[in-house]
Amino acid sequence: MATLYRPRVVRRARDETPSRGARIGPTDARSHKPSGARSGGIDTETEENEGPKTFVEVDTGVVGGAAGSAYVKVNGTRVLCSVRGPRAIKKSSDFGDEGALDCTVRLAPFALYGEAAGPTSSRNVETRRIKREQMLSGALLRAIKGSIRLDRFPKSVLEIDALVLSDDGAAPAVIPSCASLAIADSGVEMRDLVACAQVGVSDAAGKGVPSFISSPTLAQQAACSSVMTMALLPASETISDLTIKGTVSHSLAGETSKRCFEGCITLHRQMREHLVAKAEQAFADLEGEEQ
Amino acid sequence: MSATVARVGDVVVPGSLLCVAAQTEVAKAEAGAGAYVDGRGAVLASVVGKLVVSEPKGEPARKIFSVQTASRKPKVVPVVGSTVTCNVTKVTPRFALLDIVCVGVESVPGSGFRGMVRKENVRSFEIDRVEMHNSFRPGDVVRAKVVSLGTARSYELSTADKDLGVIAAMGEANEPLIPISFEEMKCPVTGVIEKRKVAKQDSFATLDK
Repeated sequence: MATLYRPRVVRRARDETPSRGARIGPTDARSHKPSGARSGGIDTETEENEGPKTFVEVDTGVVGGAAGSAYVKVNGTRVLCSVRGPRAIKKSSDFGDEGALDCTVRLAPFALYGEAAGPTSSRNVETRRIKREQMLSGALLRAIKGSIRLDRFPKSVLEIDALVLSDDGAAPAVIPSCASLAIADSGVEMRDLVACAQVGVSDAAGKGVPSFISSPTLAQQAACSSVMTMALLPASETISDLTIKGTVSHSLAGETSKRCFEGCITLHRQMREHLVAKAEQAFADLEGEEQ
Repeated sequence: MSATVARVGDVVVPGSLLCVAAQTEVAKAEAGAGAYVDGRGAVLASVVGKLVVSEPKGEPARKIFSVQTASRKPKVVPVVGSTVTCNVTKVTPRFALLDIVCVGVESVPGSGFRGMVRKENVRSFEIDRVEMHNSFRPGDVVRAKVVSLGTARSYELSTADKDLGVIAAMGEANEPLIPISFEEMKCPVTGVIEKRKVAKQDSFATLDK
């Protein structure tokens, strides 16, 4: 179902979009230093936390053939999302007074690499990938369904295709955020944006002093006792999806979700800034044409 | 989310707060295009764009909050009551099938919306004497109204109004036909008169035939 679009050269104002690349949250320059080409990177050194830091990059309007599209990179996870429609339904099960969403997540063949990909000779590689794609598609639908005004397009379907270009563990959080940006870019009416964040809890030291890692990489996740993923509708501060992988003690769950919430808010601010900057540019272009 | 209220002219994103309380004693705020009222009575933005506040004339207490988008065309789908422009694809003795190409003034290319005009929905009078082949032909361009969402396959359309019906058609000689009455169109080359359910024109070109 998902479509691989032909790449298209996109005009981009250099050094003008502040939100093209920005660093949020507790940040570590070591592994994900923004290169010179990706200008406009913002370093926001916050918190006392010395843990690994998050590099976030957002962009919209990256796919030519789609109604709306977005690209989001969080650490080593990169996702490209495109939206098409609303268009006529294909399945009779989608028929109703409300619109339907057709969410398809695909993992690029090269999305997992190194040890994370597992033994390449294994016959189960394809099966594992399909299972993960299905899991991610379901999670995407759950996370964003409440954010879209489905009552505005009855008996129609909005097709959301996400392509995971590289998966470094953050895919469950990056995909809904990216899809939300793509929908906002397409102009389909929404209740709210969706921002997702992941926090890993590592209790491995056994000292009883837990450490929290925001947007953990796959390697870090392996060391974590649990990873929490939260999808948030920031305007109403409503959680649309919450998953915990692994085990977390009840007393830590509250603190973990608080950190997830903060991560969502930080990402949302960046998404909003990007959309505003992009829209202001579009309005300026519009005025320029009129004159 | 910061609870700051957007000001007029600000660029807002979906979820941005436009007005805290929609219904107060002094003012009535309403959501216009690109905005909605949430469960708490606040007006929020639903698309990316600039906030515009308008006041209907004579009612200074009413305020309509809407969001104007930059360039993209609004996303439209057919809903009950919309006027649609269609291409006729198939005509049977009981119904005609159409492809919807425009909803209102917005084109919906590639959306695949399909419609169906049943025999009883062609016109509002003498509906039992309608003959589909004398109303539409494949290839005709028809203006119709959506009467219901119909089935999963197609929307239920109606042309039972004098403003609705065929607005452009090609004749047997592959020439665009000229409407001459509510029921007839004429080929300007061969002079052959073909029957259609014609939409009301500003003036029928050659009413005197």
